[in-house]
Amino acid sequence: MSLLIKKISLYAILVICTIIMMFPIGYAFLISFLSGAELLQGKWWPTTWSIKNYVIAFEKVPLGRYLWNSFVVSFIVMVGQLVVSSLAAFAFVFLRFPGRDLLFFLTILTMLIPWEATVIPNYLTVQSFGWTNNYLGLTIPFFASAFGIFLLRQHFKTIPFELYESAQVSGMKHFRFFWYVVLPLSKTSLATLGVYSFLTTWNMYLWPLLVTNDESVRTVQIGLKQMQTQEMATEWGVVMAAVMIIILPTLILIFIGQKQLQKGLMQGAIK
Amino acid sequence: MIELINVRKSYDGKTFVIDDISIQIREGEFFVLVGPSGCGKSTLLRMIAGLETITEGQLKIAGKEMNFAHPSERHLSMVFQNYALYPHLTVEENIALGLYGKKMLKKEKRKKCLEVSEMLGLTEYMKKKPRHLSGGQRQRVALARAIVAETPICLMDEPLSNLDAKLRSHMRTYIRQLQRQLGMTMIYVTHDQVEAMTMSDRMMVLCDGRIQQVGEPLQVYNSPSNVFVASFIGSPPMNMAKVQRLYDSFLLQHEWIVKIAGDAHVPNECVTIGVRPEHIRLAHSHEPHVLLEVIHVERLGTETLVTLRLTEHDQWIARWHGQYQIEVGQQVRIAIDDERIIFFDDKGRRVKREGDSYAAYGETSY
Amino acid sequence: MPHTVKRVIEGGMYILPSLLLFSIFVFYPMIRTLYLSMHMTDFQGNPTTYVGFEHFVYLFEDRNFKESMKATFLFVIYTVPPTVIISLCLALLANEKLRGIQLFRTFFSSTLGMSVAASSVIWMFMYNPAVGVINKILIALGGEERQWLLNPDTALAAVAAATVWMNIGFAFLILLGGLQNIDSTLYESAEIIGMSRLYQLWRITLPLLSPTLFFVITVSLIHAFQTFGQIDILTKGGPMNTTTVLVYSIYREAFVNYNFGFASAQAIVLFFIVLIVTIVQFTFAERKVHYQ
Repeated sequence: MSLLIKKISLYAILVICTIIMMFPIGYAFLISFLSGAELLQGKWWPTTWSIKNYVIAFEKVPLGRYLWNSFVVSFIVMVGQLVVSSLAAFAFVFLRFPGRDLLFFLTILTMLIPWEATVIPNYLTVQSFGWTNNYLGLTIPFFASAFGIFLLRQHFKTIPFELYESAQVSGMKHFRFFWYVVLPLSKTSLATLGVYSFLTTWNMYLWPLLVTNDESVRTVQIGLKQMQTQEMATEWGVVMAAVMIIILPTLILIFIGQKQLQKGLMQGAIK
Repeated sequence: MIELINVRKSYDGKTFVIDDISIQIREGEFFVLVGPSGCGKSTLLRMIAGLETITEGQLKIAGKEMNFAHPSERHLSMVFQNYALYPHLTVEENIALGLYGKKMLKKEKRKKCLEVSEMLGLTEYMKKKPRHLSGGQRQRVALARAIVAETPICLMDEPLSNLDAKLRSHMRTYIRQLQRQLGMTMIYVTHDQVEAMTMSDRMMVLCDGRIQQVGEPLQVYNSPSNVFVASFIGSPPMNMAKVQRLYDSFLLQHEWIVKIAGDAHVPNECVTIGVRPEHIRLAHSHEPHVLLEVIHVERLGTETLVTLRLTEHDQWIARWHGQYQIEVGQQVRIAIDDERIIFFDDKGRRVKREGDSYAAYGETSY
Repeated sequence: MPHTVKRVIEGGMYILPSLLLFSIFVFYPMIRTLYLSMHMTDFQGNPTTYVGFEHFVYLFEDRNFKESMKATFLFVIYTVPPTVIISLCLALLANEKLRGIQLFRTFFSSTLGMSVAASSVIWMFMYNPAVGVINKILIALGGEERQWLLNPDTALAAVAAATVWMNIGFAFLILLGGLQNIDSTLYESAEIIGMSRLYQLWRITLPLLSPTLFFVITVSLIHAFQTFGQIDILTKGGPMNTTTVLVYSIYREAFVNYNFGFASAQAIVLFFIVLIVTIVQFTFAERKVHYQ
């Protein structure tokens, strides 16, 4: 009996915590269906579930364009990070050559430098390249990631070194081994890094704020900030509709990949 | 005394991983639960420990129902397969945890720990962390923690499986002696039939969550209750063959006829026969025999294992004491004493011969 | 010898892309930041005159910078301990073996998928004095309407509360992973000797979780020092500079006032703070923390 009571109270606590944690998201969801007038009356539960606010959100600001930009940028960074990180991780695990340890040390060193501390020269660099207001400026600086290299290196190390040696004995070229053996064996880690880099790029704020100044490449996060400053007070329902649209892709990613992501983050970070 | 009465365990409410187990384990007994991996032996042990719930049936310890008692109320200690040592605590602290909650002076506790560590030869490692110890030393720490509390019952879940072969055989003797010396009731889980044979007072052979046989080692070895037990206990395993009956003889795979002489009747239900490797022998000069081809010979010094081609697809292994000059490809004259043959029916159960009784276990004296 | 050269070239080829990108976007700008921090700059960010360490000297006299440092450290204190403690509680809760626990785990980690911008906008509305839910609840409980984000006394705490919520997802997920890595037989063994759950937490869980816990604290610290988005959206550094944390100060100095040299000096300060936190993490983690 006491076991049952314990179980029920555990579930009760879990549910309460869930309600508190999810409250802001649920609240935003409800508000996204309210009209300005309803809001001013102090309502919080929508009388009609009309998608009017969602339609307005797309009409008032080029939300579609922003979403597309965010998607393109996140996708390019994801692919870029996967390619660049897996190449470097492969060399760090399987290739032996003088200077490798120095290069690895340099990679560790980059983790000590916060992006925000280098943002000024980076902005000036990108500007001098003519990459502002351009997908290039939003993506290429993020292709190399020490975190990504570590995460993949950690996984590549679990691949038996005998596989590499037997490939060497049979005369397989390094790149062939990388492409046909290492990458297929590392699908889950690659997927984890992919999800993670997509997520962080999608949610990036400071950099796109600096290097975009018109809607051609502006990402959805900056679009949201702009919308919030312009709309204020009256059209909160529309702003919340935009919020819901923006968080949907990443929330879905989290819901699907939570377990995988957790394992990957631990691997890349701790060991 | 530990008593299980019709105990069952199910995780999904449909299939039972432990099915209808009833057994009484006597005080001071070394009782081994043995079976292949996934047979439910660890689950059963964990149910006794209170780490898994009992779906149906009753568990009694010292006459009291313990189905819902907290593990700590069951007055037992447990040694885990991975030893479950706390990596952040020293050997001494790990052992002392065995005395956790005991109403005892600190000084007494320390004395107890020291006694036990002396007994197990751990005194010089007391200040070390488990990660600085070898596998055998960790094992002894785990033993020490279990012993120090002096609980009447000790449970062990495959405690030797992480040790190398030499150390394992040493620890078998060691644990057995320790158990005798302390007089505790031991329930010991293993997948290794050698451990079951060499250590146990009695063993329970489990398969698919069901009892296959309970008995003393030689009883199980000599009179396996079914095909599973026969092939699981003993190494190399008992030789088996499907047979057809012809009056008082067998037809083996349509090729080989075994005539049963004397008054040993062949039971009607018999469809499979089994013979232990050591009961396949070279025939004397004028004895009825069959000629079999040798296809492999393993010479172990004290004994020789000879693989024989029985039929197109079946091979039997004979185990002969001593050393033999036999070459692969050679034909050898083989005989089997009729009373050594064990019969099984179509369900794999052993069929008792007429006159088969406990007297048959008298064989053990040879 | 030619064989070694060949190997260096081949190995280098794989690392070249990373190395090139790191050089352009990490190492060069770090050195450049240091260089700029010792110069006056024009509006294009070109150095004009060498001033040595004058920017730094000035920094420590500047009232704005002092306020900014105060805001930064207060913000760290307001966010890191609550994030870690709440996440730890949630992780302990979600580590129970219960049916459907996976669903709760997903809920608790969901803020990992929330962008700073979206979260900030939601919280901005929740803090809205007229229609926001926080004031509504407060009034229902008999309190009075408050201007959370416009009052210098509450603005920083309000931003911090929103930040804690945003960061729980990540910290929770990592801590849960750490808990799941603890061998379950250690708890079973503790159950058998009758150790209470609370004592298990103290004697087993926390010591064995300490590497993970330490990692989460470090990451949260570094993360807190780098805060920008929520400040930009919720308060813009106001009211009365009470929420001008370091990165926001750098941003304003560089991209609003075009004072790149002075901003670079602040960026160097940021670099050293993060460096110190990281070094502490490394030395401390080696010594004090129990690894399994």
